[in-house]
Amino acid sequence: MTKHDNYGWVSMICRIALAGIFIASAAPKVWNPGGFAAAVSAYKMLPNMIVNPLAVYLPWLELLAAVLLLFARSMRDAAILILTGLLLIYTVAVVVALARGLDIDCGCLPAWSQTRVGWWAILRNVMLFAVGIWLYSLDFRRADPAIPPSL
Amino acid sequence: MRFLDSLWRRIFILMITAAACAAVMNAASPNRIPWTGNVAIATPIEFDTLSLAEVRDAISQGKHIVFDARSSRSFEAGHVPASLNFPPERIDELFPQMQVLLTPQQPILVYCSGASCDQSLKLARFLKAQGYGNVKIFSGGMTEWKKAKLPVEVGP
Repeated sequence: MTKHDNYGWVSMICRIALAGIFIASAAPKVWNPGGFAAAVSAYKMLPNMIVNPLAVYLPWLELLAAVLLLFARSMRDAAILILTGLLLIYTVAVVVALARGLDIDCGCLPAWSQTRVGWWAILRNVMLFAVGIWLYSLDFRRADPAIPPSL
Repeated sequence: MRFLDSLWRRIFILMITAAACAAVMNAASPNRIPWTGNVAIATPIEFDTLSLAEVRDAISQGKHIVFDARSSRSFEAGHVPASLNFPPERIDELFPQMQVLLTPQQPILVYCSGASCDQSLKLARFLKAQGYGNVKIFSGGMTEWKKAKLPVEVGP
């Protein structure tokens, strides 16, 4: 038994939690892209031309990646990389908004929580990001037998 | 290296599939938004937006009809006193009832939960298209109202 096999049930719980949070976050945005566009717009970071396309596209990217993370073993690594990449972008956006003194809805995870931009949102994103990186490292080791699992 | 190539291919496929789903859904959804631009930025251009202090003045004068554009559930949990629940999702059902209260010059104030919602903008656009030209938006919405600890009415 390799070391990463010992993490089997822990990684499964982490995967379900990460995917569940993203599905809960994405579903309302998929249904109401206008609301998400308002949240994106409130950050005042993007040119107006790309606010709507991002508000339509990003929730679908989140939803699809989260569903594949749960149900498609062969797409799991790609899904994790996309979700952690999105978390990184969202965290940078929250940090910049906080530094600029914006008191706005985070518009992030999950949608119904109405979390404001703040340290809690950053902490939560960083924790989820760490979970994502850890899950990816497990998949990476499984995919490449040249890498010892203990690394 | 082959593994990495394959990974990037999978990421690309996932991103393209998401774009296709987004395009189909946005074409078919009743909540579709234009593919370019910013739906949220239309607020200050199309409609006067009122600050909290202006909203308090307007309500105390009693000239405005105030519409809460949030869902019925959110409305019943707490709303601006004397406001009427008029979510854009129920326009067909509610507009005939609201219409009897309105004249073309009637000052109307609409709000939803705050800066991150668009129901007030949708409702304002609908009312404007129906010929009601004096529509204003309280962009701070219920979030700002509650934050200022102003009175909240609960129930339908």
